[in-house]
Amino acid sequence: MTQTRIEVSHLNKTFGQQLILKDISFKVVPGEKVVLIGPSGSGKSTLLRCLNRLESPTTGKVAFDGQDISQLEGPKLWQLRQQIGMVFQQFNLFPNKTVLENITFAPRQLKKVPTEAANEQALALLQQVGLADKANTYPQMLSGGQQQRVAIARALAMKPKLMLFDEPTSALDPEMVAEVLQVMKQLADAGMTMVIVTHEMGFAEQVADQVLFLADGELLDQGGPDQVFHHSQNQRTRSFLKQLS
Amino acid sequence: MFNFLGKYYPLYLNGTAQTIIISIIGVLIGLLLGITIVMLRLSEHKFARAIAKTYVAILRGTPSMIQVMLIYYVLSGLITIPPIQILGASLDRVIPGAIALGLNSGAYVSEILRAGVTSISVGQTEAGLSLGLSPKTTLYQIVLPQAIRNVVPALGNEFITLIKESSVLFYIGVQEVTAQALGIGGTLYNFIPPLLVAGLIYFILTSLMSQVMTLVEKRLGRKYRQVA
Repeated sequence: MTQTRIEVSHLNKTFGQQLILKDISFKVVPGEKVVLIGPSGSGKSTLLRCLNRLESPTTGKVAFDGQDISQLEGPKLWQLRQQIGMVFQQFNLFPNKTVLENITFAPRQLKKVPTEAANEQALALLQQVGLADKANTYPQMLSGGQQQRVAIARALAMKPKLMLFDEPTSALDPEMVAEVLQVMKQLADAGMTMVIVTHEMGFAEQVADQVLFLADGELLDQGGPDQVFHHSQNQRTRSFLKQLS
Repeated sequence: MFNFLGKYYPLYLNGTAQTIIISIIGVLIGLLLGITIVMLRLSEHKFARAIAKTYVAILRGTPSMIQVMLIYYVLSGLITIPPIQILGASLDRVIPGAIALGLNSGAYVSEILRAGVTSISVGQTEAGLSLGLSPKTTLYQIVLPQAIRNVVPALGNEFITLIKESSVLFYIGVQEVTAQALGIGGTLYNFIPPLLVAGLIYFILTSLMSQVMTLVEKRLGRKYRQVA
């Protein structure tokens, strides 16, 4: 039994000559909600993508359930990703598949779940995100908020141990942000381990157990939401939060 | 002006049959080969990519007439195809001819498919990978079906080109539409009417092909238009 779901230690990431992430270390325990905040270009998304290895760390270590995943390749890497759900800013639903097929595709393909069982599970997930009536619709018939909720259901269908959210509400019209945040809140309350990149500070404060403030690729501030949002000693954190309010 | 058709129409029918046979074989070979080559081109192995690149460079960079003649002479030197007659077509010429057209078309088809794959957003690949699908499954099950839909019009163009290009097989003695028209023109001491008829036949064949491609396009696009 391991006590940390994710442990990042001394992670550095460079693109060419440019240092994107500098010596990042933090831990996520099972059930914990971690929110990454910071100005755009600070490396938040890159850090998040290092956790499911859509990006590879240049140096340093990322461990998932105690196993170093920073150098994983091939089938072992694919297996790892089955345990980590990811939700993207642009939803990235498969446009040629129905909502139901979007959700059942991976379980059927990877876990050989029989069609009927997969459909049943997908419908239950759709119920959970409030879209049970959209099962046979194609993604482009849905609003952005609805698409993002389907994307969350799709990720959940693989029964992940960790969910990553990469600015899940940044591409949405303002009136649709709430419905997506509500689904995420439900998920958080149900005990899911989550790492979230977001600019929704109200939501972050409400849900987070741990807030990480990233700027210029450095982890400048770190702590509970009350600490970071209201009592930060860090000048950069304070001025960043001030700009937003 | 077109009275000669009363006497010579069977030659045109023969020629048309040959052109159709050649085109169908050529399109099928081109499609299968194109898929194979794009698989190599998008593979993770450097050597496979190099083979695909070289193939496309050579086939695209040399005249199809020379390719057709070379393949005909090389092939007929290697194996003996019996000169069986089917629908007025002599197989020992039609088969190498159709293969040559297919080999040429495969290069273009692979590039069209590659353009289609590039047109699909990286987000689709990332979505597939993040679910735990292998890069291969992601490419074949997620990206390629969407890519093919996007390139149906371009593929239609390529198939129409192939039908017209099939006239180069005249040089290796395939009695297709162009060859027949030239033969008739020689007998009549007047090339213009027979060539006009040949042009009309190609036009009808390519129109039919473009109808077929429109149907394919509609069929593949169905999913995208369906209303909730």
